[in-house]
Formats: sequence, structure tokens, C-alpha cells
Amino acid sequence: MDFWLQIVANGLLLGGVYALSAVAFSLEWGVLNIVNLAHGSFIMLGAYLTWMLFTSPLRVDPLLSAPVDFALLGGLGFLMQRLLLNRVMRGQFFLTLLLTFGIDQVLVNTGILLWTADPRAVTPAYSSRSLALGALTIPYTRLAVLAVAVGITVALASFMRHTRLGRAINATGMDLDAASLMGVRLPVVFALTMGLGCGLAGLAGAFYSLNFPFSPQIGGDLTLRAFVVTCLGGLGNMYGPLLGGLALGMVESVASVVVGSGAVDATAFVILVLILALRPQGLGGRAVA
Amino acid sequence: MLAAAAAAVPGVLSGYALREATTILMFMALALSWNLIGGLCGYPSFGNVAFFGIGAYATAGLVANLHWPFGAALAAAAAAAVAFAAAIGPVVLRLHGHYFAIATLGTAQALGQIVIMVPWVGGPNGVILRVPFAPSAADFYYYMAGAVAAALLITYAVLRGSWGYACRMIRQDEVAAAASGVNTTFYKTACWALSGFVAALVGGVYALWITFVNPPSVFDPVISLTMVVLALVGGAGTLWGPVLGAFVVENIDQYLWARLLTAHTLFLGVVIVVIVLFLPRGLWPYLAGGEGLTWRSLFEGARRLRV
Repeated sequence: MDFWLQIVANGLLLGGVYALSAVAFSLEWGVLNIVNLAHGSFIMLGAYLTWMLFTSPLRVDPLLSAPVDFALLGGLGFLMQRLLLNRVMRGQFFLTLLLTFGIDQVLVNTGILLWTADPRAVTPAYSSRSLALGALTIPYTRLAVLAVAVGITVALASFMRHTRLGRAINATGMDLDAASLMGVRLPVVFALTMGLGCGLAGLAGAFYSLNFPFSPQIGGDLTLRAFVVTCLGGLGNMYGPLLGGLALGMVESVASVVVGSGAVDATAFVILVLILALRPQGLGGRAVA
Repeated sequence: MLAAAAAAVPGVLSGYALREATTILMFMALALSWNLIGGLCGYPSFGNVAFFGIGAYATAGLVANLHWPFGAALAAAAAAAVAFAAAIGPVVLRLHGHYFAIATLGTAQALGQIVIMVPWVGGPNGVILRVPFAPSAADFYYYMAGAVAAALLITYAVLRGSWGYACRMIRQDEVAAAASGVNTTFYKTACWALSGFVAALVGGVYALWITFVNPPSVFDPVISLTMVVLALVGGAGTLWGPVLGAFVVENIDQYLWARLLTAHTLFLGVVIVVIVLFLPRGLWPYLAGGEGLTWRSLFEGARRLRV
């Protein structure tokens, strides 16, 4: 019983990681209709920025560098949308898909040139500590990720509902031309949305670096996971990524025990295909497929 | 004339250069394979490597474990890919846009993971192929050339008949196509299966050529993405576009690979970005349409699609 309780707890904590990394992906997809294949690489860049600050003479704590990651990668995302993606927004959807794939290749290879392909880790003193809750062991860093994932989700949902910019972003996602006619400046709103998304990806990178070793090539896997999470949770619902992330974390945690850890990826993809075939609107989203 | 020039290549080139030429032919056939579903029907598959992998693995398994002759194994492998396409087609082809793209990507990834769990084909270790009479390097060049010819013939046959009209309708407006009596499920599944047939042929030849298959090499998602890139660079939906795209990009890629080993994928990324921004319709329409490639035309595409 204790064993299974731990498995469930592990699943929820892993789900926090997935949810945090999928919030931004889902925002970009839902509003801009861009499946950002460079998303995982922005998380990677966030992790490396954190690592560079942590290993610098200042030894900046990862929790303090998270806002720095948000600002810097947010800026990079803003420029990426403004200078590149905005130029093909009215084209067929796979132009943006291909463009972000090209950008991803550039980011991954720049990462390899800058930092080599060796795995790195960020290990402050508290990274190995964990909370003992009865028979359960809960690492603090994982708990922090789950808390931040919930916090970001709630904050983003209220930002989208209650602020002027949030409403403009929402309106753009619903109907591009109508929003434009209501005076929303599309190029700017697109760039701000992408900036927000990439900034959140960078922030997720800071927390990723606290929990896992990373190399410049981690992006592809993270992007795929974010996709699965978004499909699971459903598009167009601010709480979808959280729901989907926790669901995927649970499934993978249980699958690693039941079918073996080698089959975890296959399980995730089989679930993805099944979800798309049987319930394309996800667990709690609008019908899109 | 083109065919005669291609046929003469093994007489002129040898060793490394012949190998490069064979690789270029391989990517031409793969780009044509993607074009059948992604270009003609507008269903951007990001998992065509699944068929390539099925072709390679089925051929390798049958030749290495059951000692089938290569030709029979290749035919069985192509049949297996067609059967797989027909089985999953009606499910994944119900999806559109991003969902279709990622469902195919996921299917290919899952297949690669599942193959690792099959001991008959060596699990994670893969299969080593040893055949008593290995074909020569020139033979492999001709095999790949044969795959390109087969892919061109199939594409030509599809494009010129009523089938081609059905595909174009599906690409432009599937609902309208269905409403005017086109059996869309049939046509797109058939194109998907033909696409799988071509990719499996290439995969089978590749397996015997490289003499070794394992899941990371023949289910590599980069192969799927390369097919998309090559077809788009040349011009998706046209007969010759994918051939041109594969010729141009693979030549540049091999040139750079020999000189800038570490930076060549970075360069490929830059090429993709530039192509998408400046040539969203690919190279072929400019050359074939007599418009010519001018500075004006380069910026025209970007102006039309921007917000």
C-alpha cells in the first residue's frame, strides 16, 4: 500500500514538471495556432542560463535566476515572433511548424557549440533534501515544481481574464480578424504572447535544472511531452495543461512499475494516439481536431 | 536525358562519391514518398520514418533470420508497410493539421520503442545482415535509382488521373470534396499507403546497403523531418519538386558536412528558416512557371503571408 502511495505521489510530482513545461506550449498553440517545436529548447536554454548563473562566482540560487530566465528568454521569444514567425502567420500551418523546427535546430546546435553535449546539473545544498510524510518521501525540489505549476496556471488564468492585454490575447486566439477590427494590434499581441510563452518556458527551465540533469538535446523530448499533455488536457482551457500534466505523470509513473521503465515512452505515445483517435477534445477542452 | 545521365553515374564516380550519389537518390525517393501524402493531399505526415523503419526491419529480419532472398524480403516488407498504412490510415487520417502531424510523429516514435521490445529482431541491439552475395556499390545506386523511378511513376499516375483531382480537392477543401461525392477516406488512405510503399522500399534497400539496422537509426524522427524539408524546398505537390529539393539540399548538406562537421545541422536549421521565409512555395514553381527567381519574388512570398 505504501509502495503504491509513493508511486502515485511520484506521478503527481512528475506531473508537476510536465504541467509547468506545457503551460506555455499550450498558450502558444491555443492563441497563435503555432505548435512551437522550439519550445523544449527554450526550456533547455533556461536550464543552461540557470546553470551559468549558479556556477558563476556569484553562485546565484536557481530560485533567484528563474525571473532572470523569464525576462531574457521572454525577450528572445518576442523577437523570434516579431522578426520571423509573424512573416508567415497567414500561410499554411505547417510553415510555422517547419520554421520553429528550423529555429529548434539552430538553438540545439548553438547549445552544443557553446556548452558541449556533456550533461550538466544544478545542485544547491537543498537539492537532495526531501520531506518525509509518513512513509512517503517527497523531494523539496519536486514539490516546488508542483507548487509553481499550480501557481503559474492560476496566475495565467486570471491574467487572461482580468487584464487588458490578457483579454486582447484571448480575443486574438478566438478570432484573428475580429480582434484586429476591434483595434488589437496583431503583430504586437502575437509577439507578446510568444514572449510570454517563451519566458514561461525559460522559467520552467530553471526548475527543470533543479530536478534533472540536462544537455542541449533535451528539447525534443520535452516538446513531445508538452504536446501529449496539451492534447490530454485539451486546448483552450487554462487548466488543461495542469490536468493533462498530472494525468500523464500518473500514467507514466504507474506504467514504469507495471510494464517496465523501458516502455514508458511507448506508453505515452500510445496514449497520445488513442486520445487523438477517441477523444480529440482532450479531458477538458474544446473540440479542435 | 536525365535518366541516361543518372544511369551513367556509377561509371564516372566511385567510392565515397558514389556513396554520396546513392544517398542523394535515397532522399529523393523519400521526399517523393512524403509528397504523395503531404504534398498531394495536404496531410503533413511527420512520421513517414515509420514506413522506412518497417521496410528496413522487415527486410533485415526476413533476410537475416529466415534467409529469404532479398527480392522476396523487400516485397514482403513493402506489403507490410502498405498493410500498416491501411490499418492506421482510417484512424490518423481523421485528424487534421497539427493533430495529424503529431499523431504520425507519435506513431513512428511508439513503433520505434515497440521494436526495441521484440527479441526476434534483436531488441535494442538491432539486426546485422550478412548475405552470401552482397550487391556492389553500383548495384545499390541502381536499386535506389529504381526506387526514385518507381516513386516518380506512382506520383505521375496519381497526378494525371481523376485520382489527382480527388487529392487536390482534399487538399483545398476536404468538406467540399466529400460533399461532391469524393470518397475522401479512400483516396487519402490510398495515397498514405502508396507513400508507405515507397518509403518501405527505400528502407529495405537501405538495410541491405548499410548491413545493420537498429531502432535509433531507422526510426530516427529526423528522417521524417528531412522528408518534409526536402519536399517543401523543392515544391510540395509537384512531380519534380521533391527531386529538385533533395538534390539541392543534400548536395549542400554533404558539402558542409565534409567541411563543418559540428555546424552542419545548425546550417540545416538556417536553410529551413530561410526557405520558409523567402520561398514558401518551394523552388520548382519559380523554375517551372517561368517566373524566374528574382529579388522581387523572394520578398513577395513573405509579404503575402505576414500579419
